[in-house]
Amino acid sequence: MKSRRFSAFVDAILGNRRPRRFEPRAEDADAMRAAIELRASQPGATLPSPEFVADLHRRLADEFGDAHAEATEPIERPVSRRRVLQGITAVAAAAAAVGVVVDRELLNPADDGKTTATAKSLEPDHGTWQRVAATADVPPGEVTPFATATTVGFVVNDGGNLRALSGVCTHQGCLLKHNQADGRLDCPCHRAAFSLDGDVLFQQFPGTLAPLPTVKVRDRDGNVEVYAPPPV
Amino acid sequence: MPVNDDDPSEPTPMTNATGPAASPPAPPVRPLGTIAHLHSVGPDRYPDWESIYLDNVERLYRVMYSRVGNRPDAEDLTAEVFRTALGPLRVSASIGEVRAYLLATARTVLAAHWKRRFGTEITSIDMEDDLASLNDPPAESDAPQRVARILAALPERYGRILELRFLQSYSLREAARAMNVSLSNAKVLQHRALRRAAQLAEEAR
Repeated sequence: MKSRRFSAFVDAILGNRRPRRFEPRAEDADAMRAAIELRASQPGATLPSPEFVADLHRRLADEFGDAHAEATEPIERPVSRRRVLQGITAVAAAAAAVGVVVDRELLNPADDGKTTATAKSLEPDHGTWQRVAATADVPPGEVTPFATATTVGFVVNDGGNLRALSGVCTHQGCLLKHNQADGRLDCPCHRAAFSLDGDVLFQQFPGTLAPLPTVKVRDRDGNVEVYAPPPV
Repeated sequence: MPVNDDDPSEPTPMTNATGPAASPPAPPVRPLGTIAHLHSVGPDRYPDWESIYLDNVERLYRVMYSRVGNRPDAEDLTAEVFRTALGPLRVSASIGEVRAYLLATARTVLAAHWKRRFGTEITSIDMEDDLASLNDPPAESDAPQRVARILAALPERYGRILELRFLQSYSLREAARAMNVSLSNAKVLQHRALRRAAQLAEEAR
């Protein structure tokens, strides 16, 4: 009976046990979500046990310790990469969409403090032109977010001229949001904002913030295309 | 809706105790002999995969636990995220990029978990909100107040049964006795109370 299974779910959550599989009704799903939220709100509930942290550390060392070392030795690389990549391709491809391939150099200015924050271009070593929108959907004055498998950003149509900017904050890599009302790109993490040219408008933390790198963009046969790395 | 959960007049300082700027990830406590090669290390990137793990395991576990509500699943899914993400992850990526990558992996892993277990996504990870809380984990002490607010906003009997069950650890049978209702009535009451609580939590967001 369904209600018994739902009660068993709540019992499992309250007992910090793995709940059993069942087919919830639509109204069960909401209630299950509330039970999870209430359980997770108990003091200390969300903290991992030291045993788990240590055990997972050991397991990961077994699995990845030597693989990452081998990556610096090209002769070993084909073997270790194949092993590492087993079974993870689909998830990795999904995860790659957040723009993790943005080169470190394009984020904060050099750590020696001598470099001035100048805008750079995000040009992959092996990129391809990828369609991100129809040209008709980005009329003059329009700002459109885009995401390829490896890059996120915004295409700006500035009076008929297309421009593309990285959509990753140069502070800590948070994804920027287009603030239409103020005509800028806001970082939701630490109160910083960039102009639609990629310049830093303001920041509320110490240090220098690099402008947003630009991404190559073109209008081709009625399509807006950006030059970005192919999927991982 | 504001883009920042925090008070916008109070920008998160770089000196936040949990932030990377104040405490750059410590080198591994016990470096493994097999990964003794060196990287050039900046203040906002990790020296090696162990630092990625040590700096993020608790952050990620907290996000995962808050979505599944039980330890065995939170542990398994956290482990799956690291085992999936550490392979393709470039150590040279910035801390922000690494966290965004871990979170995107977590979102996929969590969605697959729900589909597998219940055929539908009960909870999900939001890339914007959860990345902000991954970078600056919310204070543990806020949670009970949030629960208290939700329980207080419920009709009296709904609030009462959830208080007995979730705050006082009563079994359903004990709660039924305390409320002077039958066991099956208590089950129905619990279900309705949780649905109402879900609505309130949704409205509060």
